[in-house]
Amino acid sequence: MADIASLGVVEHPRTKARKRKLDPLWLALPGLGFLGLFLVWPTAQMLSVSVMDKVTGALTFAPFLRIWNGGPYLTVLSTTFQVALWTTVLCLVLGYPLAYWLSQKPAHQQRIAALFVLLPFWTSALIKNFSWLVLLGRNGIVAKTMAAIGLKGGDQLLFGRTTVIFAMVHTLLPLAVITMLPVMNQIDRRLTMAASTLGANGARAFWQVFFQPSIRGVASAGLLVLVASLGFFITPALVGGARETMIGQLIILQINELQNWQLGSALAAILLISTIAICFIYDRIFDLSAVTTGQGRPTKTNGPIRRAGLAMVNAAGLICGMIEEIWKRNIRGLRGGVLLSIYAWVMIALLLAPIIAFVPMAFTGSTFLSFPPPSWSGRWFEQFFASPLWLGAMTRSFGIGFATAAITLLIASMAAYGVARTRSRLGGIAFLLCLSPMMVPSIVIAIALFYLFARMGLVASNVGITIGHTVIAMPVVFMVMLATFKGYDWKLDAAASTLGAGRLRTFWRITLPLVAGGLAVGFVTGFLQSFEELTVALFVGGGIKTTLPKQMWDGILLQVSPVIAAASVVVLLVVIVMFAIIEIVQARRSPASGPAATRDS
Amino acid sequence: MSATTRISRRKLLKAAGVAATGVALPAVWSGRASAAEQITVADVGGAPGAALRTAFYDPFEKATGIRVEGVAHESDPVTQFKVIVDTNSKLWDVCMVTPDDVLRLTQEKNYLEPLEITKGPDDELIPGALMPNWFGFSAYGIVMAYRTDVYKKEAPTGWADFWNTTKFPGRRGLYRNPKGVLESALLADGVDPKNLYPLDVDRAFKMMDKIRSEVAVWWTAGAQNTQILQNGEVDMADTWSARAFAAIDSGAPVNIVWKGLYSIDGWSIPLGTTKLKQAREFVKFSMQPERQAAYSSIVANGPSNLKAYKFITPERAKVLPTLPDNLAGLTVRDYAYWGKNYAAVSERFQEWLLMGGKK
Repeated sequence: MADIASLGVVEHPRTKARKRKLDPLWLALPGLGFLGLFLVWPTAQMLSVSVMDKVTGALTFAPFLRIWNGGPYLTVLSTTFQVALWTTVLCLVLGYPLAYWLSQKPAHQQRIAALFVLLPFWTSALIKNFSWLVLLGRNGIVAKTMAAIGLKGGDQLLFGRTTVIFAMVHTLLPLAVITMLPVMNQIDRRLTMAASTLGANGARAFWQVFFQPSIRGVASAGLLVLVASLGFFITPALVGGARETMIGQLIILQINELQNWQLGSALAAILLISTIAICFIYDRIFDLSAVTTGQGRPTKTNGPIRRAGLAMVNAAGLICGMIEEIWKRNIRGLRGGVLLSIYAWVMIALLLAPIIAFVPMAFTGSTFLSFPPPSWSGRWFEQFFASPLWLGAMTRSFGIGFATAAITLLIASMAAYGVARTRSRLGGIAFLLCLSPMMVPSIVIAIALFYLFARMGLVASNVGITIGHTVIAMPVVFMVMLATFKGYDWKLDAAASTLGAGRLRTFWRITLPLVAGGLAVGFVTGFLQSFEELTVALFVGGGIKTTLPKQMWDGILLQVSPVIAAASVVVLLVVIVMFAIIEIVQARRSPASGPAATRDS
Repeated sequence: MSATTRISRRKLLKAAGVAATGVALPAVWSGRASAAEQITVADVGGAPGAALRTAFYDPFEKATGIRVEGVAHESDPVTQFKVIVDTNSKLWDVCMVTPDDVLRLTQEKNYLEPLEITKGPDDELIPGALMPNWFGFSAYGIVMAYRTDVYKKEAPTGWADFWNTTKFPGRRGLYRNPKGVLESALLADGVDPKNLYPLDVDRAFKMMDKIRSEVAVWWTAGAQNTQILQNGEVDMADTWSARAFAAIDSGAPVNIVWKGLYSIDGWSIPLGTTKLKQAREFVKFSMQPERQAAYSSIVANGPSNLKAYKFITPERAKVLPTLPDNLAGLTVRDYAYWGKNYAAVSERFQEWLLMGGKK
């Protein structure tokens, strides 16, 4: 801790006198070292299989030629990218107004609304997809409602590309919103007010003053959603039709069923290379170093892309401004703000639908999941709490979750601090490295880790699962902490030191209390990532160290018993309690701490 | 304020540490202490896992004093199996696998210990139940199921009816995997079950083209199969007999047509286990007709030892695939064929799926 404390007051980025000091980026080293050891190295080793001849070990590109020359692979790759692109675009378009709405709320309300938005992100993919199978099924409640009001096609809702994209947007929308939110929170509202004073109406002020700085958040949200959606496999398998095969499914088929590690690794390598290429193109267009440090390289004011973008934004502002004027003149009653609120609550209701539907399903009297349940009974909860298997799994999940959260929070915060405060151009690389666990399909991480752990004697140990979960939890916790540190006003530290406080004192009395909210969010995020993780638990646990999601998976494989629903209701309660704890902690600390409250107002 | 919060932070960390070690410690003890008198058996988990405990694990401990720890393996255990043997981590002493898995576990490199068990003089095993390194104790039918509320007047009686969408209109469901599905297509085309293997893959895919537009659901997991039959998402589907029975058991109007294939779940011993003797003893134990009967009374899979039917009620026997009446319509799935051809056929199947399906 003392190390961090000594760096609590790094020199202010705008001070001209640059003392000879270590760049704060060195703080990212423990995190990067961890990822290097437990992600990059084992994954590289596994992927190297793809270019090694099975027998002689010589360099070969045979699997890549095979992918290129035929079979389902190229079609599946193109499907994967189309689905991922649609998912990304929809997440941004649907998520932006929601994030905007959230950013307008006072800090306390914002946190509660954000909890609603985030709940589906931490609910197991299996549960959500089975919920869709029940709700959107041929005889499901949606089909029946549609039939009752005379709408056709209610029995054809499942098993198509639209369903897959819908389910994926549903899963990733929270990620998009929560990435855009901190950036929007940092935009100075007084600018919009100033624009109004200068005669711009609401729409023009929004487009020409608010929209432009918020693009930074949109860009990073787009990248995260795109990268995350490339690796999906459970959703297309369960709610997709014949054509919706995604690359993740083929990787699992090759590695898990056909034991063709070479082809499987080659496919994984292609996925990884595409992801890195996307990041590179992204960097060209949006300047990722701006996303990370908030400063970026000086943009050329005359760059063609920038000019085109500005023209588009101005045009949008003009058109929307005109629409607003017409709207105001003709339809007086309904105001834009009300419409936005209605939209936001409809979105939140949609996000929560499959999760809330699970609550009554857990109290069903039947042995099957159905909505609404034919009769009521509490026996599934009795079964859950009477089973040593379920309780043992839950205890283990808690233990591993806390350990994962503590380790991840420590290394991710240090890395986030380093990246947020660095002036080095290496910051962008560190940023991408910290997000890299998102780019590697989890099945690849899991198998690669199994081989590494087998040599270290960590297979089927709680330590092994914890390390694996730390790798998986790293990106999201890192993003949370990065947003926190970037929202933090470093002038306060400078002020404290001017007033005579030492570095340690400044850290303990000023910095820590102010970022405490962010730390709490980071801890809970890490905990929940671990609490819901399946693939690593499946492999590294070796079937012996069973976590709660693994126990659910065992139960869901052959038959979905309502015990699963009962278990997920318990999980839901855990998540809500965790958030309640943050709320209480934050309320006690200071009413205006946390990332949501750091905006200037 | 900050003093109290600092203490509470420290307390919290302490608590987390205690929780973490508390979780870790019992694992260390139980892993080492009872090394000799315990074996680890990897099974499919879930409801069958619980049934295995009642029918085999607990009685085995009573009879021999050897405790059986049941752990759930991955849905397809082969990769996990290989990784465990390759890394010499000795996690499992016995593992539940299918004959297809056995072939994949012996093709390039041998991963299995020989069983060295023989059937007793009174045992009556179904064809394909015992191999030198594998013993099958529980047979399942890869058959057809339909909704009785949809086909009230005339019920489909075989795979030809499944393909006959003019006589039996309605939504179909099929497994998203060529294993079993291609056989069904050939049976529907009138191929004699005796001449099924080696599969005429071209002919099978030609038949598949005919049904493609009628298949509403390509299911991927057993649970999904039960779910779509139970809630009427499809009117007719291929199924693993116990999965359809789970829907029937819950009161859904579903019936099974005993035409198609069967395959067997069984035990193999991972190479290099330190408890070979106990593991073999356990596999031998699972051949007992009383034990198999107990298992089939809970899980709707058929005993591989037909002597078990002496201990099963006639009513229960009707839903089991190895009851001679039901077994008559079933052919054992040729694991040797699939072991050799799965990779190529699977690639073709994936390609075929991408070309079309439900619009």
